[in-house]
Amino acid sequence: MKLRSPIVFTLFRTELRMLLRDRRVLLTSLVLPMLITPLLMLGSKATVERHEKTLREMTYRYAVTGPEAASVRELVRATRARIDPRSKTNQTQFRFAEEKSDDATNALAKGSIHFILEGIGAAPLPGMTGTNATVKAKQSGFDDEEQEKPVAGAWTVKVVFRADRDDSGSGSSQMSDALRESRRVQRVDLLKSRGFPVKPSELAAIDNKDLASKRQVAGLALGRTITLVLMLFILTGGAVVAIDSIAGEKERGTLETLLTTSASRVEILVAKHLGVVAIALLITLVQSGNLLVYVGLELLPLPANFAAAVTPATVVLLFFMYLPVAALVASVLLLTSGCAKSYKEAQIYFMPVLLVGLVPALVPFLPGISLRSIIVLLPVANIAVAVKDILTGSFDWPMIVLAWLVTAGAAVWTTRAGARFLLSERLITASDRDVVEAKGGLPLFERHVWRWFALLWGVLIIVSGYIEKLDVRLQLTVNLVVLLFGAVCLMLRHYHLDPREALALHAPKPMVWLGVLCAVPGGFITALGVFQLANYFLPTPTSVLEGFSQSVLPKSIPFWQMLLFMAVLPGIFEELTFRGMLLHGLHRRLRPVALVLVVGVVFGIYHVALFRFVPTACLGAMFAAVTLLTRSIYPAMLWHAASNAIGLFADKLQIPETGLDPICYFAAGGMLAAAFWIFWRNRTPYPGLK
Amino acid sequence: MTAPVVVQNLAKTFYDESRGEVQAVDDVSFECRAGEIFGLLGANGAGKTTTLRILATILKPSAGSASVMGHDVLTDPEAVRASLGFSSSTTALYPRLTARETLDFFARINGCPKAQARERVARLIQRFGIEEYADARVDKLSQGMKQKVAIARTVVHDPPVLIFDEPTVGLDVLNALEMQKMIAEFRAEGKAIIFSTHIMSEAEKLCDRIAIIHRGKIHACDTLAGLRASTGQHYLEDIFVHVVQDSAPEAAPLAQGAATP
Repeated sequence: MKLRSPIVFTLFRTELRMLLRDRRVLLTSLVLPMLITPLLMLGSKATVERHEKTLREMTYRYAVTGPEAASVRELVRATRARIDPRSKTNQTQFRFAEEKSDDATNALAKGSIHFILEGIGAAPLPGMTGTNATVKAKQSGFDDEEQEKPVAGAWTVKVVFRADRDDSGSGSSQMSDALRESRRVQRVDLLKSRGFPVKPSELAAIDNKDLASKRQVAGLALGRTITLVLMLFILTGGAVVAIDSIAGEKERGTLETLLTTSASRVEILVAKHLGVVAIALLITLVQSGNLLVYVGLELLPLPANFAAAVTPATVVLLFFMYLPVAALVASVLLLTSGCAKSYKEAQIYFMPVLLVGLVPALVPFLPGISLRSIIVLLPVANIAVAVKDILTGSFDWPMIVLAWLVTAGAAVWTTRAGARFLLSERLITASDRDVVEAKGGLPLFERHVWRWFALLWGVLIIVSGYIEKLDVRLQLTVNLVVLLFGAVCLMLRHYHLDPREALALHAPKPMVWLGVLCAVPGGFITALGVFQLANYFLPTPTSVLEGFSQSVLPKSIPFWQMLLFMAVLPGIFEELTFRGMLLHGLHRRLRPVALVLVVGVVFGIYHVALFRFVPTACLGAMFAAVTLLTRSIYPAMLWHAASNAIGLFADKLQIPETGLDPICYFAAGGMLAAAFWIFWRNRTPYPGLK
Repeated sequence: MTAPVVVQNLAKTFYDESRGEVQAVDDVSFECRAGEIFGLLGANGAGKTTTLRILATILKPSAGSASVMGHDVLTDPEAVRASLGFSSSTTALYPRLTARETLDFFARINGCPKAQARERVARLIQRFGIEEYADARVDKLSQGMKQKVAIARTVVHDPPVLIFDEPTVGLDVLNALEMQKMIAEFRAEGKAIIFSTHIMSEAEKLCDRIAIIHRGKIHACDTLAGLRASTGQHYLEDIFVHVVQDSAPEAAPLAQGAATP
């Protein structure tokens, strides 16, 4: 569709003008972060510093109790003697004073003392002896790992305090540290006096060497968090605009007027989209500048070597990387705003969008995450990982470009969806449901098919993560039968679809089976060739392939069971899911070639590992094509099962799948062409194709 | 010569959670000629707004066809919208724009070049007598002033067809009269005007032809004189009741008319 730039510019300029005159926008996006937040942070910082200074400089009162009270006092005296002569400042002086108390516990409860030093007599432990004094710090259960085990035969200092009072916690902690250090000094002196030949501290030296540069270390720290912070800014900044932009207009009644002008829906949406992106970026810029002000005021600590990690060139590159993210967020926010009937309702919808939107930004925190995985196909998450890589100086350009394209593609797709949404009558009418929603059936399933498959993919990923340690047979049963087939049954039931039509459960013409016989080896070798080709551009490490082979093809499982679980079950249940439900849900929305490609791509994405994407997508597209040509799912089922079985046989017989003679690929291509010629000659058109 | 607005067998069905299918517009046909005010008279929920929204391409017809200046609402919606000015029952103005900015904005997005838009806006401000508050933000204006701005916004790009959906709702008598005067002036300029109302006196006074719409159907369509002759009633109120009650055996009290979603 042609966009008339004067109209788009007029719409965009007016959007901005209205937004910048909106007190809500100014208050929440500019005044609040630029004035109120720094004031609050400064006030909070001053209060905390004053409190810390008080705790640092006060003299703590304590009581000494228990049968070893005299030993405790001696240890305290030694500690004071060790600290005071060396202290150069007032703050490092020994600031503890003993209070005489008959009921120390009561005094601690009342606050007249800060902690108790209780000297406990030696408790002999079987088989253990010793004479060291032990400080048993902590009584409250905090920091269990710091609590020392009592040494047999040694008396113990128990520091009793109250964690619900800052002064008690601080004083007891300082005293524990001081006593521990005294004990260490005493131990060293003791060892020396008994003739220990070297300094105990020199017994074993442990040294670390970090090969990463300072820039890389700083880049990792920054790269993990920057997307999360920026996403938060973009989402909150964009939401203020997006909510007003459609839901606000709907509430004021101006949307109806706007839709009756000669501006096209796409022009209106593009202008609104640009408005959201512009304001979101402006607010992000303001907030980022604000962050730097906080850093300047020492309200926020900056990662070490920050300047080294973020060069001007990096800033430009990061801006470019985040552009599709801002565009995608703007589209999603506009769609959300469009779904709401009022400003208030849109605000309610915003919270879940914010939470879901932040999840992909958390991906860089996952250990060992790499762009060379399925993550590169996940919008926003892929940019987050790419940014982390860029900041650590690891430039995997093909994957960075792919990540950018995927997120930009998602932004374009959601923008188009938004433009289609502006055509929706529900935008103007008060009716909650339209004809399609009221009647249900295939038209409604067509509308919902993407959300079903997105949800199913998410569930599969999560469940697979939980069951990856289980037996591979159980994993496959859960994935294929419970999840995929369960989802198929749910979809059929929810939309009252006829299983025969939805799953293409029709017998094909007999000659089709001959075509399948040709297609099985032809398709298998072609998919291998496609894999080799993809591997040439995006090489997969051998370790990844071997690891996958070991986890999926364990030697402990009988071969017949391998055939059952890895050939027959996928052949049935994956076909019902993808060439059945998915194909049926999309067949009236996409033209046949696009339909075949899309079903193939979705099938590839479901196989999660990036190196499996290309061959499985290729096979998936071929299975979709045969289903469309024959109006039957059975040929695809047989082809799929037989193709997997060939792979298993090849593995069992240790036939190499790589390095085939080029003539093999030509022969495979010929067989595939013959197979499709047979399918075409014996075709039974799939009904309702676009 | 084809009339600027032609509606043929138009139908629109909505689905309601509790009532199922609701026929908001049912086999509606009419024409609106240049220099004519065509009135759509009906109770609330009769199907007037739905019909007008189909003409403005906001809703799609379930059946039938409609065209504006020869452009079909389904196949050429942008050309349809470029040919009409639509005024909804609320003023529906942007509160944070001034009156001048509002007019300029609507002129530009309806395709007027910058200079032409500026010239038209200045002329309309003068014509509607809104010079004093032309640079005040719309949310500071009174209801009558807002209504004037809304009407000026409807005609700012000089469309040949104007649609007014209950434009006098919420106005006091003086403002309503002024509104009627303006609409009559547009007729004199040769524009085809569709005027929807449930106020009988307004229709009686303004409309050249009146279609009585009830439960989505047009039950009578004629000049006032023709309606008087065919029903034997003098006052439009009596004509309306007569037509509605006689029109269908299942006729029910007006308050239960088909709802417009």
